[in-house]
Parts: sequence; C-alpha cells; structure tokens
Amino acid sequence: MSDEHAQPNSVLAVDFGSVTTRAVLFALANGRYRMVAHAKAPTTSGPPFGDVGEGLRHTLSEVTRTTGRVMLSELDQLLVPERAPGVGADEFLATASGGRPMRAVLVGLVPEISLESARRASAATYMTIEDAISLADPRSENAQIDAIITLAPDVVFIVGGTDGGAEDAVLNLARRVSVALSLMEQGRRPRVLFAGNAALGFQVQEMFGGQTETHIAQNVRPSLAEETLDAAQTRLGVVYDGFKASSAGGFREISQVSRIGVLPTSQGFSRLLGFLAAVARENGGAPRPVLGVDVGGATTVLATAWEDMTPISVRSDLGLGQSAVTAFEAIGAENIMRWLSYRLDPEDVRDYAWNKWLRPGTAPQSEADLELELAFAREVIRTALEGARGMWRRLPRKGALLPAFDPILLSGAVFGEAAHPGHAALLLLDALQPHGVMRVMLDPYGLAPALGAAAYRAPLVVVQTLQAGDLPQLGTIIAPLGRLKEGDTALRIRVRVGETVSDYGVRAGSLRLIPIEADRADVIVRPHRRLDLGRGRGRQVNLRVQGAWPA
Amino acid sequence: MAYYPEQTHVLPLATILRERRLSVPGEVVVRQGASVIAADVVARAAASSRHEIIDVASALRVAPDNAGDYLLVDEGDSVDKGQVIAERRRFLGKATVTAPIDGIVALVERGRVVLESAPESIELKAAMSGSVAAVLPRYGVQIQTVGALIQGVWGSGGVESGGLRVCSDEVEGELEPSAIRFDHGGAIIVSRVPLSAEAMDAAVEQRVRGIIAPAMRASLIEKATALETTSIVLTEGFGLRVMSDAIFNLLQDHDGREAVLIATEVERWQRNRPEIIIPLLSPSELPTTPRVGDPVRVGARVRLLRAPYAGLVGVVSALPLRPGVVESGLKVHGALVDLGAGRIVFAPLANLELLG
Repeated sequence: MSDEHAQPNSVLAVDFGSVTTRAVLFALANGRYRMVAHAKAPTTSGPPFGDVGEGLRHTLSEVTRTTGRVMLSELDQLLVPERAPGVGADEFLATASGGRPMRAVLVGLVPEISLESARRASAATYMTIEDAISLADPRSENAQIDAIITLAPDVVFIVGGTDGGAEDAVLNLARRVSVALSLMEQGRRPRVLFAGNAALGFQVQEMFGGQTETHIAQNVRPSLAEETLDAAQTRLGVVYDGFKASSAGGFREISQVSRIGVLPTSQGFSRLLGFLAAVARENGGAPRPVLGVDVGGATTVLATAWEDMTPISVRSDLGLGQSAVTAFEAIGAENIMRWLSYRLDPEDVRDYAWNKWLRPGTAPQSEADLELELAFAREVIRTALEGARGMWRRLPRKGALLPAFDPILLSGAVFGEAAHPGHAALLLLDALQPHGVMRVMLDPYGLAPALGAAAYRAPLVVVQTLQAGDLPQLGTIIAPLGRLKEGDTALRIRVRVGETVSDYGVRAGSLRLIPIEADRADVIVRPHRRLDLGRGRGRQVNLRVQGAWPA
Repeated sequence: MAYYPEQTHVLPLATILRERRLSVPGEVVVRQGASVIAADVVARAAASSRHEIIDVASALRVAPDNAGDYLLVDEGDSVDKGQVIAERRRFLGKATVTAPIDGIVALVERGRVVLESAPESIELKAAMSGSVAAVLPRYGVQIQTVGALIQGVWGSGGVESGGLRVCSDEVEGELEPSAIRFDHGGAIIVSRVPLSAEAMDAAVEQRVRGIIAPAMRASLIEKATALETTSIVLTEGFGLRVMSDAIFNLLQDHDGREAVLIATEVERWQRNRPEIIIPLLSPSELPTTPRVGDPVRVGARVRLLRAPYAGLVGVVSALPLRPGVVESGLKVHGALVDLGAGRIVFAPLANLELLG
C-alpha cells in the first residue's frame, strides 16, 4: 500500500484483553476482505514478562503457523506495512481493555448536573473514579488538594458551567487542581481533560498547559437541558492511549505502530454496534436499537446504538477474572447461588471469586465449576444492566421495560467459547430477560473490537466481514410480553423451509428450541390474544430467519 | 501451538535477585556489594501528606498580584508554626500572617502561600539477607542471595524472618489450634492443611511470626491483613485446599532452618507474588537464576489449578494438537498430565502452571 488513502491489502487488529490477547488478520482476496486468521495467547502484562509485546509475539507466531504469513522481522519487529505480498500487514490497529484502568478524579460544579454528565462520559472507557470534587464538597480546599496529591490519579476530568454560564466558580475549582499539580513531581502529574464551559477552554489550556498534558473537549453540558458526551468520550479515548503508552507493560511501542494509537476496546465495540445499526437502517427494516454485551475478565460492557446515539456503559468492577471479587461484593452469594442446581455454601462462592481473582485465565473444568461460572456471568450481566438503564432514557421503550433490541451481539469467552451454544442463549435470556423478536449474534473469535477499530481506517473490512458471516447468528429469540396461565398455549409457530411446513406450539412458562436446519426459513408466529410480540397484543409476526450457528 | 502459562517457582536452590524500591525518591543508604540482613534499612525517603493554603492577599487586604511585596519567605524555606511569613506595615501598627503549621513553603502563587507539613520519614528494609547486587539511584537496591525459593499466591502483608517449623503434616481437615505450641513462638510455621480462624488466633497468642498454609477461607482475609505481628502466605489459594506435595516436601526438607517470609499483598493489576526464601550456604559456583517465560513442553512439571485436579502436581506427557473436551463440556486445547501411579488426566492449558 503506497498511498495513505488507498485501501489496505491487509489489516491486522489486535485486542489486548486482561486475560487474552487476540489477533485477527483481514486480507483482500478476489477484491473482497475476508478474515484469514485469528489467534490468541495469554496476555503478558504481568510477571514474568511485564510486557504485552511478548503475548503479541506469541499470538502472531500462531498466525504465521496457521497461514504461513510472516508477521515479524528477524528482530521481532512488526512488519507494517506489507513488505511483499503475504509478508506483514498494511495496517496495524490496537485495542486494549487489559491492565489497570485509568484512575480519575472528577471536578465539577454541581454533583447532580455537570458531575453526573462527567460520570456518564467516563462510563465509556476503562476508568475508576477515585474522588469527586464539587461546590457541594464539604472538605476544605486544603483537604481537596491533599486528596488529589495523595491519590495521584492518571487523569483529572474537569467539567462545569453551561456554555456562556458560570466562569469564576469553574476557574476557582480548576485552580485548586493546578495548585495540587504544582505540588506533585513532574512525572506523577495527572493529565487534565476539560469539558466544561466552552468560553473557558483557552484559560484552562493556559492554566495547565505548562504543567501537564491538557485536553479540551466540547462541554458535556452545554445547557441544563442538553448533554453531549461524544466529544468528551472520544477525547477520553485519546487520554487512555496516552495513559497506556506511558504505563509499564509495553504499550508505548504498540501505540507508536498502531494507526489509531491504543483504542479502548469498549470504543471499538461501540463503533461496531454503530455499524450494525447503520446496516439495519440501510436494509430498510424498522430500525431498533442494537445491543452489545461483552463480558470479560476485568470488565463488562453494555453498549447500544440507535440512530446517531451510541450510549455505552463500561463496568470495571464487574468481570469473571480480575474483577470477580468486586463483582461478588456487588452481587452477593445468594444471588449467584439461585442459579445453581446443587447446594453450595456461600463461603464457597466467595472462595471461588477470590480464586478467579488470583487465576483469572483458568477455565472451568468440572461441570459444577462451569455451572458456577455461568451463574456468576448471569449476575454480572444483570448487575451491569441495572446500572446501565439510565443511559437508555432516550431509547424507545415501554415504561420500565428494556428497549426491544435487535440484534443483540454477544462477546467474551463465556459466550463465544461456551460448551454449547445453548449455554450462551440461556445465559442471555436469564440475564437480560429480553422481549419481542430479536436476532442474537455471537462473536466466537473475539472479532468485535477488531472490526470496530477497522471501521476507523478501512470501513470496507467491516462491511465485507459482516456480509461473510464471521459474526454468526446464534438464533432468533421470540419472547412475548404479557400474563398468561402457565401451561396455556402462548405461541403457535409455523416454520416453512422450502416446501416443508412444520407447526409448533409453545406453552406459557416454557422454553422451546426450534431447530432450523437450513440457511433460511419463513416463520409465522401467532401469539395468544393477551400476548404481545412488539406489534400489539395477539398480532401475528412474519419472519425470515437464518439458520443458527453452528448448524 | 506454543502456550506460555503462568509460572510458580518451587526451587531447592537458586540465585535469587530481588528489587527493593521506594515509592517516592529518597536516599539509598547502602553500597553495591554490601552484605545485608532482612532487618537492615537500605533506603530512606521523606514524604509529606498535608498542605495548608494561606490566602496572604486577603489577610493583608492587598491585590493578589501585590501580595509578593509583603512576603517574608520564599519557596523552599522552612517555617515554624507561629512564624510570621508576611507583614504589611500601616500608618498605625501592622498586619501580619503567621504559619499555622511547621513545614516548608511549597508554592507561592496569586497571593497565596502553600505550606507543606514537615515530612515523615519512610524506611525501606532489605527484607532478605544477601548482598547488594546493584543500587537504583534515589529509589532502592537489588539484593542477591542463594537459597531455596517458593512462591505463594497470596500474602497478608509484611516481611518476617524466623526458624521454619512444620506444625502439621495432616492431609485432611483444617489446622487445629492445638497444633500451634508455645515453642513455635518467633518461628515461621508450616501447615499442610488450610488455616482456620481459631488457628490464626492461636498463632497470634503464641507470638508466631509467620504462617505458611495452603489456603484459608476468603472471609478471613480482613482478619489476616489486620494482624500486626504475624504474616501469612498461602501457597494454593482460597477455600479448603491442601498444600501441593512439591511445596510441602521442600518446606519439610528445611524444617528448623532460618527462612524469610515476604508476605507481599497481591495487587489486582500487578500480579506480584509473595515468597518464602530459605537462605543457604553459597556453593563454590552460583546456581542459576530461576528460568521464566518458557512454554509448556512435554516433560515439564506442572501444577493443575482447577477442580477436579486443583493442586495436583504432575508431568506433561503429551500436548495433543487438537482440542479435547473436558468434564464440563468445554472444548479446549490441553495437555495430558501424568500424576503418577499410572494416572494420566487431560487438563486445559489455561489450567496449568509451570513449577520450577
């Protein structure tokens, strides 16, 4: 690829998770992009390696072993761009969710307004909020400054003031931060992101510019009635890249080679969902919000896309590995045990969480362990869902119900590497309890963040990979809404594959799996007159559904 | 497919090199080549945690930009509590501003003075005996020793040294308080079975310095980390696990020898490890340093990490190229591990840990 704007011949996307490093290679073949290799290896940010580059090399060795394509030079340097056809890759894109999240202190005027918006903006990336300073903070100025110095956060996120609104109060708070930074050693000073009153951008830049890396973004609260998070979230992604590059663990080199720096995995995931929503719009169907669920060792992400909105919630305290203990504390033993078919002491559940924290990459080998892992996952998603409901305020929905999502994309090893696809489906149904008719897509290769990252540099990769079916469909869920006596016939379903017609009945309170042993089938669903599938009570729904994965 | 698992060192003899580092810059007080014991201080630093902001401009009723004209101190000056730091003479008398604390003038800006309270001293101890292999200017040292090395998985914090005493070689149940005797005072005791709350109390009562146990209930973490005179290292994890034979046998071989228990608290993102070091007389030739970063190979000694084989140690007898299905139904790449006595099991690669 000689031209900066030409389509790359190949794109290597690597996601550095907290447990696993995954590489996906896309390449042009007969004028179309295809996924030609995927590989994974344990992430090596911790001892003994302390460098994610080692895990990258292990992963790329596997790519070379399976494809014959050389990805590294003799000096172990990544071959970017391609040196010759089939040697290296034209683009290298990195995403990361592993390692310690950014530690942030929020500073804003009013806890319920600007600080709340800052919290929502922060929820898009891997951040933990260590402290919040506002006009309502009862601590003295000295104590606030000492708190910043003691915490030594990675970023101070300052908001406050509507555009054209308060200035002095915002500047006074910013000055406290500036004093704290003055008292910190140069190497320990946090980055500053300002997303408050637009009129103060220049003054804030002047105040902090000589002290530390300073970023200015569009006000998260341009007016009391308006909230704009996208610009601040994008800028937080840039701050995250800088944080990663300056942290121990080898991300500096990765950031230099990657065309997009080190993008938060959550942003890649969110970007892909935006793409899926756009595809749905272009296909002319009645557009519904797209939902993505990504359960990892350290974080759980719930992301949606609808029209031009991509609200996202990243929970760095909910996960099945490094975050198993904080997840357990948020969930409680009883909530996990209710999903088990066998009796377990609550102490055993706590021990399980701590052992997963110690050894996040291990896999449940016994049936009992797998059941416990899936119970944990159900509650992790359910807890993340409760916290994320606020971000769906502007999505179409009925009352307190979840929006009717379609499709739902499931990512993370607990889904993609499930012992049986049914485990992934049941996990989703139990945790989300969705309603209506929706397709469920699975990400068995950990493609989602890679495709989201590719969307920045080579959108065709995303379009053509989706068309190739590399995010396979797990099935179509039909979940009616309404009350019915258990045992009554809730749904009558007719499935037509070619000339063959099969009829099924589904009783209230039951689950029924209807296999579709063909690429496509036409399905007619007639709900009971008291049940609703999204078109009104008793209204029939006609569907063309895809065969499930694996066939 | 090469797989690089986590590794735990369980070595009868190795050259051990460990870094001791201050969290803030300070002064290193030992030289390269010096011999140290665990209790020796190797570096010191001063750290302050409290600041006072004094609004001089307001107190003197002058504009912030003019406040500097009335200051009697500069940045870096030490001040005593009550000392006058700014003064404005008037026609009748004068207005003064005094320091509210002992400290140093850390910053003067826009009519305000920031005082930093007198710093507290931080001392960094060697934590192990050996020689100073390298000095890390302003931050610490690398210490080298020769001995047996065993890495644990969880530590309660603190560093203790004392004679190693095996107090229980039972293989069932939990450690009984009665197993901890008066003569274990000052020692580092070893239990093959999990630590109970009662046994923990008994150890504190008998003034035991350190406990090496395979496991304990996670609900005891708060109690364990609050202990002031006894440090704990777990070698297997949480719950009711028994100590791996490989670790217990090595500890038993050194029953009665002096040992150092480095009960490092494991941090969520650092994955740092607690360790037990048993210093041994250095042979004429230094033994090798522990190998790290090896892939799993046929012949490697491994510990299995998950049920139904958690804690068992064996030797990899084959690495099938194709994934296999384990008891839970998961299809995974794995290894055949020979556990001895003709027992060979298939375990996911993710559930293996190299021992060595």
